Amino acid sequence: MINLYIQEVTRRLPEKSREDIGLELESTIYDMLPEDYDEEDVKEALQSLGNPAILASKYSEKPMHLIGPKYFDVYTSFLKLILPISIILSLITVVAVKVLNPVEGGAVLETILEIIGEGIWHMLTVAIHTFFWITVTFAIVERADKENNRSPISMNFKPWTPDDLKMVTYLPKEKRIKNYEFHFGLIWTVIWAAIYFYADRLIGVYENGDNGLRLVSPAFDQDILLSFWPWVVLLIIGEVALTVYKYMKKQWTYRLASLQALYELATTVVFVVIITRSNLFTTEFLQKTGELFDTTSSKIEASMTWGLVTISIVYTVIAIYDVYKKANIKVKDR
Amino acid sequence: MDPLIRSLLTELRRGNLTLAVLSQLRTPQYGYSLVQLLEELGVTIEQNTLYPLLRRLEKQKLVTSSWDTTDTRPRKYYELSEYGVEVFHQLKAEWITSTKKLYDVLNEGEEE
Repeated sequence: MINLYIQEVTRRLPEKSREDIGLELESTIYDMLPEDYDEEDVKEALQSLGNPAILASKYSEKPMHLIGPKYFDVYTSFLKLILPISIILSLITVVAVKVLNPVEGGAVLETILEIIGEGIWHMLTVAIHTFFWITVTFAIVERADKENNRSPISMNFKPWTPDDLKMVTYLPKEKRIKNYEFHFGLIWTVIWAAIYFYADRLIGVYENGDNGLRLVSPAFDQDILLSFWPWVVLLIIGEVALTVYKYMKKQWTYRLASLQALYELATTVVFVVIITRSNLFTTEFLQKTGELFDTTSSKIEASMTWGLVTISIVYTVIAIYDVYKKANIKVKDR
Repeated sequence: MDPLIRSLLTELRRGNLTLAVLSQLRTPQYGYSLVQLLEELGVTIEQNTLYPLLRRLEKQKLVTSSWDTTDTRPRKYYELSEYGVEVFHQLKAEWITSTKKLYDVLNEGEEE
């Protein structure tokens, strides 16, 4: 029984210290026993030494936790930073792959459902992977760290000093850009870009057919629509850059507001130019909607064009007013 | 005993134990003799804390160890090293002053 106990302790220890600790334990246990001992005495002695796993952990001084207080704060900060980004990237990948390889002749509804299904699956997979690898990395760092200083470290992997505060910008609540705005901003870019490049399969008149909802007449002439692609790509790049910049700044400033306003203006100009282009709407689509509202196709075209132009201009004015209002909020410096 | 009180007490004792162990190692001791010695002096220490602590002190070069095989059973003896003696005296002085201060602080609270 004594040998078993010693084995249970030493097998949890590094090879080189096993023999020494084993011998010492052995002599200690015999020291604890009376002259003529029986099994009860042995049990009592072993009981006072306690669980071999705990004794071994006290010997080895290796942490009995995955990530200790020294790294925990940095670990959670890393997770919060990387997890959402990797999830969104996976979503973007799924959408991009789906848009580039559409299901042949598939109904739109099916494609969208497929994107949602695969999107959720991929996001889950990526989230689990990201979580796992970050955790493993930190667990290894925790074990590799031989330094005696166990005080928690900050994001730059050094103990905290007041100078670290210089790296932090004061973020008043009223001006703060929330993290979800950043995440939804990216998702929104993906959605409208997908709609643009995919318009002939997404926007138009739908009819209920045998295979569910099907697009019978697309609203736009895709060739004309796509002839603007360089401008649209520029807008996409601009929006992504702006979103990332927002994420780094984390609050509304005049410069950010001006950039945002500039972007809104550019979008509106491109949008108006595209929408007012003649022959943009397909005749078939105009006819069908005309029938629906009991009017001629030219009237429908005119009202649709100018309706959309008005909406986009009104929206832009409101949006620009809104960002300047946020940037203008005065906050007392503390 | 209330588990919270017990864990707080363990925390309080932890540093003191090192000091108590160091104080008894001015003469060579082996594991079990040290347990008995401390127990006689009224210091209870869990055995599964003491033995790893001895090795840690050895690693920190505060104590030296040697195997004595002349007896019926080989025993590992620990003794304070020169550096250990130095550290022990410093710790002892620190402990005495801080305990005095703490004593005053606690007494002050009593009087009110």
